Amino acid sequence: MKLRTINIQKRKDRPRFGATFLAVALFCLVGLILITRELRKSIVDLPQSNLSTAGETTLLLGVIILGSWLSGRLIRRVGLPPITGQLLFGVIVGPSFWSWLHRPEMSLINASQLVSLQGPESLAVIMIGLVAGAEIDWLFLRSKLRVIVALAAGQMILVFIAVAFVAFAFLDSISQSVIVATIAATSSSAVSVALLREMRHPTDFARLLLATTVAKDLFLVVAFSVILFVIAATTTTTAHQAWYWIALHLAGSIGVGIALAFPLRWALARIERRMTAVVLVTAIFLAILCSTIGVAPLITALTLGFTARNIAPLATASFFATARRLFLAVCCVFFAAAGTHLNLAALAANWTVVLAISAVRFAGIWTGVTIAARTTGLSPAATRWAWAGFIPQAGISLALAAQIAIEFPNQTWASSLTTIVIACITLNEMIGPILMRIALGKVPSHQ
Amino acid sequence: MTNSIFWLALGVVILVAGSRWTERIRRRFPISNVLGGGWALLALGIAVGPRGAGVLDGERLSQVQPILLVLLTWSGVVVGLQCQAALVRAIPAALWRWITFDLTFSLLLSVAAAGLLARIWQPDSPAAAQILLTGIIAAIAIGWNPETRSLGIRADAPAMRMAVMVQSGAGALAICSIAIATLALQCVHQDFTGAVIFAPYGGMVALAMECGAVIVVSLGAYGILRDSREDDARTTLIMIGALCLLSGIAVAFGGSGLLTGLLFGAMIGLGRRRLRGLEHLISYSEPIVASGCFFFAGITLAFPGGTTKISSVVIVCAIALSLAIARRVLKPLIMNIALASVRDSVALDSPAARGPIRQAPLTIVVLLAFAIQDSSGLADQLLGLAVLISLMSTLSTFWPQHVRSATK
Repeated sequence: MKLRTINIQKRKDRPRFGATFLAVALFCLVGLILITRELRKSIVDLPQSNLSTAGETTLLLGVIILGSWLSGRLIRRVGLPPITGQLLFGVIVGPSFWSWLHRPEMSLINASQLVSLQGPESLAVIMIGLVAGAEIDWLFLRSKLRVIVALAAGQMILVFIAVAFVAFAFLDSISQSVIVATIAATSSSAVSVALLREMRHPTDFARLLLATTVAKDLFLVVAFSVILFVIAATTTTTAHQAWYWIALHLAGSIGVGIALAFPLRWALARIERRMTAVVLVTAIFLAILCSTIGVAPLITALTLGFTARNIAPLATASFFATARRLFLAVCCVFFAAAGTHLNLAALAANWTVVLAISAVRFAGIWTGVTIAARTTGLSPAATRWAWAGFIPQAGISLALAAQIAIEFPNQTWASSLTTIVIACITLNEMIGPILMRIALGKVPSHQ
Repeated sequence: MTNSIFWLALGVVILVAGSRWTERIRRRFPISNVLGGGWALLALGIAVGPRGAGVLDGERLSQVQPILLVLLTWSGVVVGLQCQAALVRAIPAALWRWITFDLTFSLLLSVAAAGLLARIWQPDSPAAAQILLTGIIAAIAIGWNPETRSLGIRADAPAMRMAVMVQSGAGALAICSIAIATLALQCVHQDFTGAVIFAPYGGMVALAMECGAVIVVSLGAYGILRDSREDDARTTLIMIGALCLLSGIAVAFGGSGLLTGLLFGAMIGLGRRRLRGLEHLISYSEPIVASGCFFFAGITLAFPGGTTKISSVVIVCAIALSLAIARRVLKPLIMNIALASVRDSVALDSPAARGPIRQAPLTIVVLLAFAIQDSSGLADQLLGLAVLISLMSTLSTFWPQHVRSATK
């Protein structure tokens, strides 16, 4: 009798919309946009609006938010993480996929329209940084410091050495191999925090993966800056750009994040209402501040989230709870936008190099993480699956890849290297979340 | 850097508006309940807008326009959600009568006022412009402010019945106001040469398309929201997505999002199941949406004749004052005539009965929707006038009462 009641309750709790509903809704959404555009073009007597650019931006944002959420739900039906669905939606509606198929007119969002999504995208990066930073508890970090250092160091050393050798075999240049190897060692904090937030009760294992990813990425940004500086110093006459980059992107980003945490704490202790507006204004302000003074938005937001959460957990609780409530929409925008930027043509053109580098990266992460996990005494399940949490790549990796072309604007090798690196990131971005989701499911919550 | 300073200033205003100090001030001075909130952001909008310090104009203004479109659509949803079957069924005959009277009188007066105003202001205006002006003036005249708490509370049953009637009447008339104004906006628009034309065919086709899109989006959103239970994150996501989509579709067909939002809200509200998560989200976000609309209204509005010449300032203030006085006289008159038969059960002398004197804040949102589509500058001036009338009509609810209590 009791079992029957539980079953009825479970049935009640289960969402009624199934795969058919989701697929029909997605189809209707895309159809609605295509019909709207067609009618707008074909009927001449319709009233015109002065705000057509702003209207196009909101239309695309609506399509991206709803479409990527529906795709995420749909792909979850086959056991894959929603992020994969969101990325795939971005790929299908974006210009890259259709250009690769030589049918650019078929894309729902063209390259010029992507520019109008830069604002929402940069806000999404800030929100991800804030939430990711707030997920890391100082006490947890202190208690797991040895494990985090071992996991990060183990994989970084092995991936760097292995990928550098393979890249040298293909590229025949030490400096280029070192750049590729450094970027290959990075992972994705955004994917980690998105999968962590997807869990009803985030486990210690998920928090460990996130903390390790954040620590590793912060270190690699420093390392990458130093490497770029050294290469620029040896290959070009002026080295100011690299020093400027190092100073601003690291000390500046971390410093601004820590400095802003104190006024934020002060303000949040005095605010009772309108928290959504406060979160949005904070994110907008941070985005504008970062672009104005030239600091890295993700690192600044990460540091701000971490510092504010740990210096005043009570005062900031409502702020971060609101940020988490908006996080689902933020993820939909971020990952669908990331999908639209994926360069499938580059992946197809360089598939041998990409496959080789990715395979070696995969092996390096697996070996390094497994050895580190065994030596630090992680549970058998965590030891077996921890490597999968470091395969995804996204925001920071792409930012570092874009930095190559900025640092070496007149070098022909820089653009081809950027293409290869972005193709590698594309592959890891597609398969990484699936592997990480499997890992989080395999490791029990108490480990 | 000015951009950062602007956002910092806006952030400070929001922080102050939500802080404990403001709450204490509000409790101490009830008048700040009426003049506080959105009005502070309207003043900030004037200060930073193109007619103030110019921090937010040109390119920067176009960057924040998507936010304005979403806010307008959201305002429409807030109004449309009042169309709940149970609420509509519960409206008593006396209230229906009051709504009909107010609507009829306001429309008749709007036609007369539009004709008069067109003659004084723009003597060469075509018939199409007069139709548009009628719609806009009707939006200013129809309805009233639904808020009654700031007017004073009386706990007896007839007074409470009166307060409920004022609130319900304001809700119903807000729907009429948006429908009339957006219908006028949809049918009358500027062509490529900038001339105002009356094109009912194009307007109706656009309206039909918007309705079709709203039906598709609201059916899908209702289906998902119905099963979202109390999941705040999912409700927020679906609402943000639907609002963005609807405002984009509305703009594609020459609208502003206000009507599509209204229809969407009505479709969701008329659904069988109550969506408590959505209701919570709407009530939580209502002050933010109102404040945002007031901020953009501050950026957009202009005063007829400018503010440099004292004579024109005096004339504009005199027009606004005369219209506020007209409200002060006519609205209670209409109320007394419409509710004469239920005089015993409804307290017509309660503080809430002064509610209809105050102009509805929604008027500013409707005029904002008009202003963003009009490039002639007339709508900006009408918006400025509406803000003045709104302020004066709000203040006019207080002073005669105080004079009377002092005499007693």
